[in-house]
Amino acid sequence: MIIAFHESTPLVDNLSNPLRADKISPTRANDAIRLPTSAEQKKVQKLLQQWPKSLKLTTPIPPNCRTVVVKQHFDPILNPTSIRSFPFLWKSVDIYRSPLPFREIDSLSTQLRSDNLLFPLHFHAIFVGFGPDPDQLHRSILSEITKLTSENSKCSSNYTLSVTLDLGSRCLRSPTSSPHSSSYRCGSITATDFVQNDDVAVDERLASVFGRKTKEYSVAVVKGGSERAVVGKHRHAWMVVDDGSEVEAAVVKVAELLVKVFINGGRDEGSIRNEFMPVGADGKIVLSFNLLNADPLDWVYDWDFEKIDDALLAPMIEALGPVANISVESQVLYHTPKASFSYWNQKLESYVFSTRDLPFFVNSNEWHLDTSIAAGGRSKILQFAVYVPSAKECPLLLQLPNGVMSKTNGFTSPMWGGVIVWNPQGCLKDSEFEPSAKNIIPMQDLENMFEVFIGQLRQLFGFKSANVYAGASGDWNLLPSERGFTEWELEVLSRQQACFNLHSCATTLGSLSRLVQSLPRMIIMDEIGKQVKFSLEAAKLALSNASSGVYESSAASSSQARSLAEDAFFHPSIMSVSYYSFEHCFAVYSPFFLPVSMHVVLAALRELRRYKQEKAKYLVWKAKANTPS
Amino acid sequence: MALLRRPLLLLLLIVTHQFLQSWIVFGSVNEEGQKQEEFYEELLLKPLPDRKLLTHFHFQSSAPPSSSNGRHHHLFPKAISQLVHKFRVKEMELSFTQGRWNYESWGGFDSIPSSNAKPPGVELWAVFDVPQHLIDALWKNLTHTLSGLFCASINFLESSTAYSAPEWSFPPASGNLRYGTLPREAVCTENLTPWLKLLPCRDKAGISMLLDRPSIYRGFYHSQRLHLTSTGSGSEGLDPSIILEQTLTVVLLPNSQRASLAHASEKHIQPSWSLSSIFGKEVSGKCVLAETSNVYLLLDRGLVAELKQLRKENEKSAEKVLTSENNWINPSFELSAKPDRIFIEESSLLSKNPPILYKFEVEKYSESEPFDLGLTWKIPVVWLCQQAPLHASRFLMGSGNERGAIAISLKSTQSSEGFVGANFDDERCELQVDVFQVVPWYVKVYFHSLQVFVDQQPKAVSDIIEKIHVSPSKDKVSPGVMELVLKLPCSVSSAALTIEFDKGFLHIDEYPPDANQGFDIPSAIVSFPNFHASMVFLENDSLNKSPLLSKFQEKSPVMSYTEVLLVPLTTPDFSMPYNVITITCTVFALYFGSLLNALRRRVAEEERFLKDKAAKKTGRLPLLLSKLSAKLRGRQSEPPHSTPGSSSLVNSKLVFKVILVAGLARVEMYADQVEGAGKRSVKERLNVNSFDNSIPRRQITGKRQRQDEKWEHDLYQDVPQVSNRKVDARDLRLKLQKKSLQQVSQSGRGALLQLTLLQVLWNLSRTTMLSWNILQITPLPFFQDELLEPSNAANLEDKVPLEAGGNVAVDTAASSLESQSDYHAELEHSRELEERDELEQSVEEISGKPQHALSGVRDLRDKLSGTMNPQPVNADPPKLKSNAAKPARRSVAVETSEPEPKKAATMTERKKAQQKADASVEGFLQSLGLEKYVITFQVEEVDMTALVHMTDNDLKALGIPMGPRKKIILALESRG
Repeated sequence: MIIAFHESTPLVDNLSNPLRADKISPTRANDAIRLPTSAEQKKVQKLLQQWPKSLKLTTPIPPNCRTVVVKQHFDPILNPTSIRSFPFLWKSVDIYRSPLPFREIDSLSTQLRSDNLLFPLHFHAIFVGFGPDPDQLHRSILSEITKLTSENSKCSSNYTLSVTLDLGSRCLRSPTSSPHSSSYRCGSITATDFVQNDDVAVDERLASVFGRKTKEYSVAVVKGGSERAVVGKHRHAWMVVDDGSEVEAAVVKVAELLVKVFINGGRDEGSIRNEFMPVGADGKIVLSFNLLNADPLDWVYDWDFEKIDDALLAPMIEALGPVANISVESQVLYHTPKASFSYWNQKLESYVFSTRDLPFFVNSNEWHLDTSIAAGGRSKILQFAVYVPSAKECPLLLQLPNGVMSKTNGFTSPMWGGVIVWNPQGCLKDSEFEPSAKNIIPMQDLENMFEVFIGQLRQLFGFKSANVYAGASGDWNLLPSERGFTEWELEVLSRQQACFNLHSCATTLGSLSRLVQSLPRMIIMDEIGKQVKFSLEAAKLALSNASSGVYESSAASSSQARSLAEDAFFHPSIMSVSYYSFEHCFAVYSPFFLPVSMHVVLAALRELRRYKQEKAKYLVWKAKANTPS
Repeated sequence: MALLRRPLLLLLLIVTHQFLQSWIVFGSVNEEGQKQEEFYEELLLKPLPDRKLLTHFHFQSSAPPSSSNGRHHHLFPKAISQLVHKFRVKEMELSFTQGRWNYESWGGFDSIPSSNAKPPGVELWAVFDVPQHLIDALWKNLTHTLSGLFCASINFLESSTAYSAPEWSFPPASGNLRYGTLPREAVCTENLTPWLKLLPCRDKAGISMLLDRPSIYRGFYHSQRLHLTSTGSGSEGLDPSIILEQTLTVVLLPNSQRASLAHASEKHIQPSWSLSSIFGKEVSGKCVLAETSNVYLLLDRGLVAELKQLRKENEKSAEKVLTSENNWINPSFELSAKPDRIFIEESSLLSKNPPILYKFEVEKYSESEPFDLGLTWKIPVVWLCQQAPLHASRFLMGSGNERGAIAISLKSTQSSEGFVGANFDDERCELQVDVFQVVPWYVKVYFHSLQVFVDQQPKAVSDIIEKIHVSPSKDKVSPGVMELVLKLPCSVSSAALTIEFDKGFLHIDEYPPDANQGFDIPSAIVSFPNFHASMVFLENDSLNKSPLLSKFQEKSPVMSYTEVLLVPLTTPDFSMPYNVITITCTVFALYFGSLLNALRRRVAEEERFLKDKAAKKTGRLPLLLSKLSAKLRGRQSEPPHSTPGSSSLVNSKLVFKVILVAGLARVEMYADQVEGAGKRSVKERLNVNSFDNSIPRRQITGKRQRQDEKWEHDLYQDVPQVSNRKVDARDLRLKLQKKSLQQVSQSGRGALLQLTLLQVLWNLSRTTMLSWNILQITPLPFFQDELLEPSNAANLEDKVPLEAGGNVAVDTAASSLESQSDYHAELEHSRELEERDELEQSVEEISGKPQHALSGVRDLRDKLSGTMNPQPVNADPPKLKSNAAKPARRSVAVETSEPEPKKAATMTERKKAQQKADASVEGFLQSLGLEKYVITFQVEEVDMTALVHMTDNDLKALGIPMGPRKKIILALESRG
């Protein structure tokens, strides 16, 4: 505390009344400073001696004293250095929070919420040997399409349509200058191409006509020949109609094909599966194949998984690459009985397991299918099990709800995987064979099983395992791909995956930003900030790819965005206890502030009471004083 | 002779084999020359000398490298191969142990104890096939994975304080090794189930069916171990070949019902047992997936020797009977099943009594004919197991929570046989002992304090310790590791190592849940690198090799684990921080409260208020309080007649300030509250009896209404006391008052004398009451000038009789003076006055009615603080006269007249102050209640004459605020 002697203030008052010393303003630079006289100095000396001990004079007062530096015992609170150190204190208790791009997160989620994610699709319908008005056909197909598309889904497509009438020598195009349809050369498709019954050959022929590079979905409608409607492995379909049939029926069927098959992948509309992909948060799937020998005492079967892996699974995994990063592992387990019983059916000469009991088939106590060590924390594990029944229940068949025996002898469980029951040859023939000898499942059986597994995987992805799409206006044959998934199916998956991932990324980031904003004292590491930043970048990339129609890369970057967002959200440091609760603060400080506030309140009350009394007295005195005067 | 030559050859073979290959691949080669995955299951049973039975389950799965077998496994557990592949584990061992291996009675030299006796809790070590800088990260991930895989808290080994990297003392010595233990981990079924999951048959078939959980966990010791070794190029993207060895070692006590039934001599007979009696289960055939499934019964060297000895007593041809294939039923014991083969240990055939191994093939048994091996003893047998050369034990020394010492003691087991493999130096026989000790960081070891004792004689450390490697612990970072190689003379009978340590303090977060239990120091590992435990049982069929027997052949160094030590550390009371917070906060709050009170106080006002209160009757509680305070003050304050110097005043000021600020304000705060509530009711009660109309008036009139108060003061005294106790005194006093009323009119001269007397008294009281000065925050130094020396008072006393003409007056003066001094004496020196008889009583009486004493004190205080109001003096004389009526200084009289002189003193003081007020500025200001400005005037040397001429502006220049200024001017005007 510095007490300065001002020209204006009397020296004596400054020191004689130490309680009021704080009222003195510190010396300003341009204040006229009066030098104290010697008499004043003497007085100061004398007075300072009389001051309470708590006010200590640090230095003897020099004759030309201007200021008296007085050290006070309870000074630290008022000490300007302590005030200056407050920022440091604040800094030391401050919690590091990496800046998160809240605005960008908000803009991403609003962008996804407000205008639906639109995937550009281009359709091309080629009519060979039909009437001469392409514009009318164009209009009617468009109107049919709008009738069929529902806008309730999160991600819709932004489609364009071009219609070409192939008249052999020349073509009539409906939007006359469409950039997409111009690649088609007139007369390259003729009715004669479709005479043969070999669909695969036709498919290849069309593929060569349309070219694999073009990103358009084409459908060819040809008059003449036996009536057929086939969807190829690539991005095209064809339809052969009778010579005399009306063009309207063809238009309806084409529109249904475009919407239901090419846009929606031939799946049921509005089912939950549409948005629910069996892909882990980090964009990975682990396919775990298990061979379960129910009772090795009866027989032990082994498989040559290596070959199957190379022959059947590898192409499919490669095809699904843009959608998910798939890895495969296998094991053989023994002593794995199923959890529920089957009954003997005399007519079928086999044991029958009804659909009713299916939930109890998987015996999680004995089937140590295990979560994989190789898989990361958030990978999705799909279990596929081949169940080899014991001799006691040997030909084991699964019964469908309608009483028919299941052809595949297997079932799927959504988001878990699938099971196939494989009955060994031995029990069917009732032949004697060596027990406990190591048998190998025949390759043919194994291939059949894995085809069923691929079908099951298709089912888990939401596709139909049957090769026929039954629409309202007629059936379409779907050509199966040797890779398990056709090109258009993969594109549907990519679109869906991109859409799902982007939405999930946006919600994850949104909840992260809400969490971060709601806990102002939570530590946020730099790593989280980085992850959020990269996630946003990947999401932006996915959005731009989606709008330009590059579905595969859109799906890939969207899954990256999602996994980064999940990484940020589930970062261990967020879950840590390091954030400081205000309840704790309260618990620590209330023992001090509660009694202190009691004192303050009491003092205030007493002062108030005194004030009232004094006021009353003053009024009495005033009244008294007024009366005599 | 052929028998002799064969083992020698074999030994040579084994030694060369070991040099070529650190381990042996047991994978059989099938027709195509392709190795396949294999699984073996075996069980070893061994009777132990202390009537217990050792059961050792050994399961081995092996997977050839992926180059020959492919990536997918058929028998080998998927989890383990993924683990090896992911963490690049070269070698790993994980053990869960409950109980401690009893090295003394269960042996310490065989390959079972040396490789399967493990420290309690969890022990994990792993060797990684990666560069050094990656190892720690891999170790951390490995612990987490294993923790999930085995449902154990292995993940606690993740922190760098929990694991260490031994350099060379741990047997699979390698720079890529990490070693960690969790001594406190409880082992239970939850750990066994995932361990069993790794077996292809789990516990559904084969030997593992015997693993009945209750009987295993009832055992004295059980250790569940998992050891895996991988070889081959993991770096080329191919899976290496892996050998997974799972063992479960259980020591059980067969419950023999026979023992209790049989007569006394059979008590010494070893208990008979069978598999079904110890496990409650039988083996119904082998696991179909296992290559071999064998049960072995091992009779160790000591037992064989004993049996031979016994046989020799009975028959001559003992040698043949025990070993021949057919005579497996021998007179000393009986086996319930016929062994398929009998092995005799080859390498120690040179010695007289080689161990014998009976082999039983489970393959031959089935569900209908289960395998149940039983052993029935016929005669009592006593033998000893083969011991390690030195028996190691470890203990703590020292007491208290500050420091202690660890001592590792090695005692010779005196087993001459053990030295077979010892390293006989050319010059002298030396015994090499490796010691590996990990200490947690909170046990701060002083390595300089390492001391070595051999045969209880202290030895120089450098003589005994050949090699030492120490990595000191870093606080909260890494544990301390100590690796030693000791060279002890072969003839050593005992050796001891001691090392001192300090116990560290942990952070509050670091204490485990049950911190008061103590902290574990992991077991030290004592190994004897020159001793190798190996047993060679030669198998003639190479196709049907047993991994267990191959394991026995391995030359593993003999090692033993010491006890886990429990160190008590200072554990804090975890609620302590909150207690401290609460206490300190309360103290701070108290301080703050009293400070606030002190700052808030208006001393002058309160003085007056107190005076008001004192004038009234107090309640019982304040009465007691004031009684107490009076006593306390009486003891503490200075003697009344000695004038304290200015310096002592200043010193006492400081002392009293502390007491005052902290104590008085506190007391006052509560006292105020109590008084405010309680006093009113007492007063009301008193007033209601006599003057009902006075109550509302009192409430209206303020403290400063002197006239009212005075009136009431007088009135109050006239009110007869309600209390029974004082009725007599009051009555007497009333009488005296009446008398004094008559006397007052008599003497005119008395009034003059009275004035001088009063002055003396006033000064006296001031001296004594100076301690009250410090009540005011600003000291009033000017009092000192006016203090009268005590001699003055004495002088006055002398003078009075000279001046006094009338006896009565003198009497009055003397008695009043005496009573005054008595009063002071009684008040201030109650202790010192104890020898005086008459006053002793009076002290009691004063303390009996302290309200009077207190009122007197407060009056004086009031005077001192200067809140003097002009008072009519004429009311006083009658009371003073009452003193004159007092006949003598008798104790009774003192009691009756006590209040009177005090009252008189009060009144005279007031009068005197009134007189002074006319003369001095100080008095003048006091009369206005502006005594705090006195110093201002003093400094400016303003006296009364100057003050009269001061204008408003002058006062302003002095720095007097508006209110006081106006008061002063008004007062001056009225005076003028």
